[in-house]
Order: sequence, then structure tokens, then C-alpha cells
Amino acid sequence: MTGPIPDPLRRFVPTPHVAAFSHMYGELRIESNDAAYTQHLLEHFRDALPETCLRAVEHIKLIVEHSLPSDGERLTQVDAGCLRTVLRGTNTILAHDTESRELLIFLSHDVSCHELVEHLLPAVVVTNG
Amino acid sequence: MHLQVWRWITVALRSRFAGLFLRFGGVYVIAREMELPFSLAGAGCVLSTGSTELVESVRRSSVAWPGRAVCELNVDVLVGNSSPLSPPHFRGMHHVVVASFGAANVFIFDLRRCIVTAKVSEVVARDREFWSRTLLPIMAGTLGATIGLLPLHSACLARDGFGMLIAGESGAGKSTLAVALAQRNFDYISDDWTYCTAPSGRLTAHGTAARVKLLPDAARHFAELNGEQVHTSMNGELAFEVPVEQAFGARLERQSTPRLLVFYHRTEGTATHFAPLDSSIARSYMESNVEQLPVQLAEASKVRSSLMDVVAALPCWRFACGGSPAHIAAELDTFFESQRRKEIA
Repeated sequence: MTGPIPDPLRRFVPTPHVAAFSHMYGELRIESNDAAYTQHLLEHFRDALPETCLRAVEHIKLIVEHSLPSDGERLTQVDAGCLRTVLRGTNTILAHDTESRELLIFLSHDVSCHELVEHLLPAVVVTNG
Repeated sequence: MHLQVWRWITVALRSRFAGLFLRFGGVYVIAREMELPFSLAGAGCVLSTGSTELVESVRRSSVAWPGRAVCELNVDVLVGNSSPLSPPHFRGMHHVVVASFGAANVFIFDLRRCIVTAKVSEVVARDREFWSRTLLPIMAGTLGATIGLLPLHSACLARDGFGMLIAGESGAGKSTLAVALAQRNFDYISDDWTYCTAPSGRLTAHGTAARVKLLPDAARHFAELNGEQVHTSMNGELAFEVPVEQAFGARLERQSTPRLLVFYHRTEGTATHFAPLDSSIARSYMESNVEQLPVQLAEASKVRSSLMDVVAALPCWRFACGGSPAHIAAELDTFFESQRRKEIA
């Protein structure tokens, strides 16, 4: 009567590619299932030091959906207390919890890292400034 | 283009004079000016929305909740948006679950704070079937232990308040058996997912208004399915999905007190076999059928574990039988009555 427990929400996708760096506001930890995106994000945050983002986020968890292409560019934003969620189409999902300072991302494989850091992160990260 | 401009002008005027509309990022939504406390499978919930049709839909498909609410359902309705439902897409990470039915119909579940926030089109806000048969069952399953519910992969039937949970592997025929029992004068609570609560240790099983899901071969046994079409259900299976009370005349009850847990195994022959089952096997079945929770929801995992203990303490039986659903239901009915008589005595 036992078997593998399904994971339809993809909650338990392993994220072995981890990077972290310290900055003037604390530390940022990035974990992902994709080494290239982890590296891109690390370089972006380490080199550009986007102050507002670094103040608001201390943990980024990114799942790249390698078998799920994007399904539209329209952005939908839903705000609920401490949680802001932005969807690009429906397959790319970003959620920022301002209380726990977590940024949770499901990213269609064909969304570029450039679009992620230049357009999607500014749309989802809630800053005080 | 001109039509679009006129639409915005109309909306702006309605907003200014009626005070009913709010503007967020270029999109108008109907202000959430109504609240409805309701029971979400045994947990108190408050709906906040601007849609009278949605309030009515939830009111009709649930029972009132007089006590303290433990979760919120906040729904913004997008003015002028007529996007219909699209195939669902679900994702979850840590304490966040997202369910979308197209880009205009999005539900965000914050499991840490027990808040569900949604943006939906006007068309979907009016779709009573969607709310009662799809969204509220999804909500009960997703919030689950965070609001004190144990989603149990089992059917639940009852007679005179004496409830029976029927567990079994997917495809064993729980739903078919549930319908066959409902046709033998059992009250129907659920066919596939039952939500258990145990306030003060008193176990109660709750159902939702979800459609009964029957695999295509059920058409051989139930004439009521003539004229119904199979379609792809949310888990990708081909199945009939029909309102059990309308299709089969079942007497729908929202809750019962389970006194018996039966594990059903379909066999090739028609011979019937009942055997007592150790509670550890019941526990193991439940563990293997519940959704795995992330470490961020450790508290909910503890709640769920204690609820499983309560369910596993029920008298458990293994029931092996084959043949037609009517035959299997008759055999289980006889056993059920013998157990019920014992309890009454």
C-alpha cells in the first residue's frame, strides 16, 4: 500500500546549485536546480548590488522549468499582505514574502536571466523605498 | 480602440458615482464590500468579495460558520474581463501555492497565514459550478492541515449518523462503490477525498460538493451515465465527473461521525472476505497517501499527524470482494449493519 509520493506542485525539486555572498545589509543565499541561472543571479547581485533588492531579500529559491515553455508575457500581480506574487503568463511565477524575505521563483526555461533580473525581479520585489 | 476608451470612461464614472470600483495598476476591480463566513469542509473561513453572485454561490454550496474563522478567501473581480477558465496550472514552494486557470484567473495560497487571495474575471466570478465543485474542494485540500483538516484519500458514507470511511488504492473502485452504496440508502459524504477534523478529540468527516469521478467502465454498471461524456479530469485521467445528487439521486450530507475504516480491495471473483486490520497499517496507508509538506509547514505536519492518530484508532477492516458494484455494495452493507448493531448493543 505504499509507493512514491507524487509531487504535482513540484515542491520538492532538488536545488543543489547553491551560492551565497555577504553584502553591506547581510547575506543573500541563492539556490536553484540550474547552475547557469544560479551563477547569473550571483553575478548580477554581486556586481550590480541592487540596494533595494538586497535589503528586501535574503533567500532566493529558483526552479527552472526545463520542460515548460512560457505561455505569454502578460504580467499579473496579486498582493496579499506580506506576499506579492507576479505571474508572467501562468508558467512563470515569482513570489516575494516581505516578512520572511524569501523570493520564490518558478521560471520557464525560455525566460532569459536578463529579463528575470531587469524586469521580473523589479516587478515582484516589494521595497520600502 | 474607441470602444476601449469608452469602457474605461464608463468604469471610471461608475467608480466615481457608485464607489464600488477600485483601480490597481490600470485594472479595475470590484471592491470587496461583502463578507460571508462559511464552513470549508469543517474549518471556518471568511469570503471577502465584491461579487454578489460569488457570495451566493459559496452560500449555496457550503454551510454557515458561526464560530471563529481560521482562514480567509479574498477575491477581486476584474471589471469587464470575460476570460473563461483555462486548464489549471498548479505550483508550490515553501508556504506558497499558486493555482491558475488562465492568466486572468489566479489564486495565491499563503499557507503560513492561511489566506487565499484571488483575481478572477467577471465570467468566472459568476460561474457557480466552478466555485462549489472545483475551487472550494481545491482550497480544502491545499490549506488542509494548516487549518486543522486532514485530507484523507477515502470515500465516506453514513447511515443514521454512523459513518464509514472507505479507503483503497486509486482505481480500486471507491467512487463506484460509494455510488452503489448511495443507491442502497446510505448518505453520501464523499467519494474520493474526505476531510477529517477532530476538535476536542471528536472525529468528524466532512465532504465538499466536488463531483463524483467515475472511470469510463462505470458506464457498464450505471444506466444513469447514459448520455454523459467522459473527459480529462484535473489529474489527467479520463473519467465521468457528475454531480452525484443530480445524476444518481444520492442524499448528500456534509458531515458524519466515522465509526469504521474499511480498506477495500477489488478481487477477480465474487467471494467476500473481511479481516480486522492493525491500526499501524491504517496509519501507513494515510502516510503514503497524503501530500508531502515542506519543512516550512512543520506545524501543519504535526497537526496532520495527530489527526491521523485519531483516524487510525477507528476499528479497521480489510474488505476484499469482486463482481458488480451492486454485489460489492450489498456485501459491505451487510457487514456495516452488523457492526452498527454491535455498537448500538
